[in-house]
Amino acid sequence: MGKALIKSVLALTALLAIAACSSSGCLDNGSAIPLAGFYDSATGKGVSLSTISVHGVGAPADSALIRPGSAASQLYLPMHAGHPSTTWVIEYADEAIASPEYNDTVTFAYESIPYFASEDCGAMYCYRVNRLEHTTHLVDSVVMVDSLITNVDIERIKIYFRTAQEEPAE
Amino acid sequence: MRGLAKVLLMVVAVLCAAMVWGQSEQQRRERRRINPINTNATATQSINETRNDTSRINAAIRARSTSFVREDGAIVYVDTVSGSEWIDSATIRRGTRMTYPRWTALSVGVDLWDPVMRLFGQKYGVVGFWANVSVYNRFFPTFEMGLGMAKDTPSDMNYTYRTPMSPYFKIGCDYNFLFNSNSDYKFFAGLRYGFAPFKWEVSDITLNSGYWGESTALAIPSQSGTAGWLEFCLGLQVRLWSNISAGWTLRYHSILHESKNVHGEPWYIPGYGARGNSLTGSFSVSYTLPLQRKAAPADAEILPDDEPAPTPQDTAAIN
Repeated sequence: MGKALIKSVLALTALLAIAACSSSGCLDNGSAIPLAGFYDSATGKGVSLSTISVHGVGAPADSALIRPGSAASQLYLPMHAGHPSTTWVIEYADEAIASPEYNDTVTFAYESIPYFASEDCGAMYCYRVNRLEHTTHLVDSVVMVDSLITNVDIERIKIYFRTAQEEPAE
Repeated sequence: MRGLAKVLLMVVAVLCAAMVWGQSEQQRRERRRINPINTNATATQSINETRNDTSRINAAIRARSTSFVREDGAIVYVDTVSGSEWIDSATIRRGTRMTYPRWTALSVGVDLWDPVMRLFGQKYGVVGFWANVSVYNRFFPTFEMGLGMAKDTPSDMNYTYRTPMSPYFKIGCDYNFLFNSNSDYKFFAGLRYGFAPFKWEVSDITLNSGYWGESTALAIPSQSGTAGWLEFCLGLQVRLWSNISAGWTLRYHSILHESKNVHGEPWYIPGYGARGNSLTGSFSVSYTLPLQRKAAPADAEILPDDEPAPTPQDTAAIN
């Protein structure tokens, strides 16, 4: 019985070790931030833009998410928690269209839902977008791939821009 | 007158001749049916013709054989002249013989896994109880029930998770691989179906948005949920003293179904544990109430010789 008891204690210790090694960490984002991608409206292919700046309406001053000179093909657009909508302004640095009258705005109206993602990722708001509006100066269209925005890191917004095509050499 | 007499004489003669002929024919027939021949050859003819008659051979063997009952219940016949043995195949038990009676014992136990794990920092669980019935010391139908609760504020996280005291239930069966051995020791595997109705809530949630420069407080009010899962068990149990036993079990479980909720999935399910933990365990102390004693092995029984033995052709001969 003594040997059986010792073996049982050793096995129980192994069990405790196995049970303790259970957490794998947060594999997704710690908050629900939608990822937007930039695309050429003519070809449908992804584009990298380096002459735009993006900031949110109501954000503290000097809070651009991206500035001219930084090329980006994707951008995270954090929703304004506790508010029913968020508006993003896209400014263009190209000399010909640098005027504010050519700025585009994209507005998301949504329902904020308290959401518990997991023990490791924590609690957050998730957003169910129920209305999408945008101007059409250089933005051709905005597509919501999934209207429910959670902390899963996937591209949920596609913004299609009218881009200038290079003329073929004669 | 003379003519008539002649006719009468002729008729009488014919009748007499017919009578004599008939008697001769009958005698001939009787002589053909009865034709006994008693010689030395005919005296042994029947014996030679039936020399290979198995029914006569077996009858002779039965007349000189005896039999006894083996430990496993098979009847063994012994030829007292040649010493050969054979088994009555009709009495050979197919399959495994159960050493223990059908209703062997009733056990009740307490699962101390959660209280012990709380000492190591686990933030959920209370206690569990179980009861099972020993069937042939081989099958153990089991019922479990217990209580679970959770309260956790993980470090470096922005919430407090709570589950109030909630019950859980499990039903299943274990199989003891040592069913014909000493019942003080068991090595078993089993299956369980578990079910739990419970509530959960998340409070003290703080969202800090670095971009918007704001801090938002929110909470998920009390939510109701249910979950069902399947559990595979593997374990040992040993008797410590008297009717007290102790054992541990390794459990692998998987959620089969659960209620959906717009606020996400509950982290803790009473009886199951934390979501994402496929492996868990249990450590139990139990009391066993014997219902019947193990049957003593039957002594070898010599059957009376006047009972007929089966034919050897129908049985397996053993050396």
